[in-house]
Amino acid sequence: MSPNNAADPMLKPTMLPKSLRGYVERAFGRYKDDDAKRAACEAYMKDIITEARADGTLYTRDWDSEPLFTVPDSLSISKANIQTPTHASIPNYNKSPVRRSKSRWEPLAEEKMLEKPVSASNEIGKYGSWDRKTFSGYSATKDNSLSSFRFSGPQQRTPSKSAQRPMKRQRIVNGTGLTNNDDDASSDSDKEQSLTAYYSGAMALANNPEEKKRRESRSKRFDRGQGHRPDINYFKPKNAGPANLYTRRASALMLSKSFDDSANQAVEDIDWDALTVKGTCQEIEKRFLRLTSAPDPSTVRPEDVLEKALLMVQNSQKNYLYKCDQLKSIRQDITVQRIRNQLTVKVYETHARLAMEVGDLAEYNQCQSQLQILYSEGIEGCLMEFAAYNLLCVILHSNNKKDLLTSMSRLTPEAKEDDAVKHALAVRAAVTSGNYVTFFRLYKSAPNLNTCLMDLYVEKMRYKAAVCMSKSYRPTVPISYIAQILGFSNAADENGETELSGLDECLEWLKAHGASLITDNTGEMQLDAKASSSTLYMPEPEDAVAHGDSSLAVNDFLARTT
Amino acid sequence: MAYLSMGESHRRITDYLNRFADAINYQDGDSLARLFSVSSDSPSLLSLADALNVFQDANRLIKQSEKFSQFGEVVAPFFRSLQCYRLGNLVDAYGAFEKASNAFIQEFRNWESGWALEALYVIAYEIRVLAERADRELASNGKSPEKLKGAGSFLMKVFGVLAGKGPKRVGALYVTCQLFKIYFKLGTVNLCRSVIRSIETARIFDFEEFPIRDKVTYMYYTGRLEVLNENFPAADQKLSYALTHCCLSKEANIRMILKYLIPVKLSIGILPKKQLLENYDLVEYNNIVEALKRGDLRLLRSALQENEDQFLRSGVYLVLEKLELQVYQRLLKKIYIIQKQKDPSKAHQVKLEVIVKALKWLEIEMDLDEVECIVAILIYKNLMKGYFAHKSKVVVLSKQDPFPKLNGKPVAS
Repeated sequence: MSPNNAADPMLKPTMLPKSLRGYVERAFGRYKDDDAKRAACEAYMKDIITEARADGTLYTRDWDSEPLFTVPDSLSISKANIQTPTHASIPNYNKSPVRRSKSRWEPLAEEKMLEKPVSASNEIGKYGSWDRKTFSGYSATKDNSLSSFRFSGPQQRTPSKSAQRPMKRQRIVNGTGLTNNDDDASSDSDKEQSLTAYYSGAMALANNPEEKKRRESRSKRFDRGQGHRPDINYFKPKNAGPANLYTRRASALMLSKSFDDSANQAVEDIDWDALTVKGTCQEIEKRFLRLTSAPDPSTVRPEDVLEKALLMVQNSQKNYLYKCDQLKSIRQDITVQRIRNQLTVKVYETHARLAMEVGDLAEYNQCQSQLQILYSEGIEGCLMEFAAYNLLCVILHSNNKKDLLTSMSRLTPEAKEDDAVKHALAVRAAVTSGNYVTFFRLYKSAPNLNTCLMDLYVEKMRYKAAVCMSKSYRPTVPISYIAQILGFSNAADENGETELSGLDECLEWLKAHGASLITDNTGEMQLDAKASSSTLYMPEPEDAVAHGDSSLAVNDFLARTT
Repeated sequence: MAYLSMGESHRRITDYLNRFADAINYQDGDSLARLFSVSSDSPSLLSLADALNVFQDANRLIKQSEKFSQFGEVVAPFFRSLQCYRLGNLVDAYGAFEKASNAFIQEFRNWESGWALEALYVIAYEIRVLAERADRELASNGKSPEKLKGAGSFLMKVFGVLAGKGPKRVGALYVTCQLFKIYFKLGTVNLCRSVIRSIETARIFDFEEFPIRDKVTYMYYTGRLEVLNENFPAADQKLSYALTHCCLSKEANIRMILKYLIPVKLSIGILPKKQLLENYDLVEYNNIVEALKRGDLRLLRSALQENEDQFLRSGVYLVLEKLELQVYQRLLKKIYIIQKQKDPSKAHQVKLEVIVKALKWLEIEMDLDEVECIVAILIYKNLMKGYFAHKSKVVVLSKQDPFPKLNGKPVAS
């Protein structure tokens, strides 16, 4: 494998002249063991090559003599983080026609940034959590591959899972680079992605006027031509020269943020940890306000406060609207600080469960996708519980046999032993064979929130059962029996009152579906099977939610602001 | 590797270039085809690869003569691809090969007749195979495998080039089949739909005109899609076509077709002979067939579990699972036959508890309610004729043909 083992076409060894290949090898060779630097190195190499290609000096320059650049310690992480392929890279880097990310980002973002002198620049702004911790988390799970540095947070995808959130295009409104429109739950995932990208953009764009100058001098350095400075291969960061672009940029960033002590610091002395967005807000309760600019750290809650906030939500007696709002706010604070650990998982799991309980499938799906990604990174959580939910979703929602087969074949032997998963698989078998007796028994004995997911299929199953019984039974079927096997009675209770309400509910249901009912000579209600087989029908679904509480209708949620 | 001189390398490269130019100038499709088959590991291409790696500046040779340079856009990236391939760098090998293929397609477009179709076939094949290997390399490095997907897009373009009125159109089915293989491998089988629609509805295509080899492959894949959709009559028709038109000597292919055809046939009530299963090493179906014959539910379930992974991967698991109802039917029929022997006048009434007992003997514990449900489903799906009397818990069977055979029709859904 060649040292520049990127999947990037620009760095393919065979496409570059030999001397350039040597240059590249020397450049990478210095960072054999440091993945962060290799990533940054790669990015930087690409720029150099792109520029050289653009001015036609790629094949003519004497790469053997070309000075190598240094990649400063921590800056490499941020640089790598900025270069996210699916979002516009810092526009200034992306001069090359070859690698054009979504160019919609660039012009608009630039303009707008100039207008708002990034409020952050006036603060002891801490941008993006360039946390070493986070990245070592990535390296550990991804085997030190460069790709772990290319993707940030929510963009990371596990190719295997089918329940993926599709990569939505960044919706740019007003050049703020963030989704501006109000609410649909599914746009929250966009929001998280755009936040990340926005950070990257924000950092660099902050220095636009200076950047322009830098750009010019950068392109000029190639004009200086070949054979220059043959005796100097390495540059100290403080010297002028192309190598310094990194460091100059870094210092420019520092300057514009007017950090207290750092204005004149050398790159190596910069406290990159200090630049991490460490929230300082101590409020446990915080409403969700979608970010439209870089956040003020005093409004962002640090991890320990978020833990408390989560606990508060879990113990709260208030309704879903409130909890959903709080959770979205927690999620935002987590995303902004790039916290990706068990807390993150707990938050998403909590939100997913709540969403499912009320039937908010959109929110549930969002959380489920995030969880799949987090689990695949090796973060601990209730994997089995959610594997079961995943399975039930595939079974009960899509009719896609291929997806079902794939999900089933992907279960580990360990998963197949888990009770929740076993339950889900049993439900699957019952649904496939149309076995209503088993289905409703499983419904009553469902672990975790499997009931909630099954809820969405109950109506269908009952109808199928009624149709089946009408055809096969003669002459009649006691309603009490139907109520019992179709899950109408409350199994736990034995007292007469509960059973009656189950019976009533069953009667209501049957009537609503056109069943023909008669009373036999003992006074017992019966289903007239033969007659029903021609009168049964599936009524038009009203806009009802599974539990019939219209105040919990999903669209309603999203429209309300309190 | 034995020492390879610059002179010898030079000779090999020039030799290849000459063959390439000649093949095109004399419209020798077969020769041209052989010049592209990177993954075949043919000695001549491997030795060319070695020569390229030694010589390093093949571009100069290409540019040297008008005879070669006119195909430079194709050959130069092809050389790079071959070099990368030889060095084990599959990702780059794929990328360069795609570039070469692209350039080739541009030329191909301008050629009137279909003389170069063989070469195009090789290219389509190589695109897929190299992409698969590139993806494996990417995956093993922890990167996201996306080359095969790209190969799919590229081949769609190629399909577009062939979908015209001229003689080249007979090549479209081969490219279609490569696309099928890609989509099946990626699991994105829904993408097959658009290309199927083009083949089956476009007037420029006459299915019978396509080469038989491609027709068989096409029917195999479209048959498999029908199996996935549980559309058994259509699956039967397509897979049977593939089977009857497949050359008998291609045993591996026949086995693949049978692997999917057998579950389909079982679903419509047709059982294969044991000999067939043995001849083609499809013994995983043995117990299933046996279970159907005997009405042995326990055997069916254990057979499914034993080969679960295999059946899930091939996608026939759900189809086989559905055979349960037929197994129940057989079991009930046996009970009926036994009762008839004992007392013909009462035989048509089967008590539920008798069925429960029979299942117990098969070590299957099911209570009355569950069995009642199965009975109801069997009647509902016309696997039993009669009705169920809930009060007396008795299945009352029709006096005539209480257990209708499927007769080539799938169980009602």
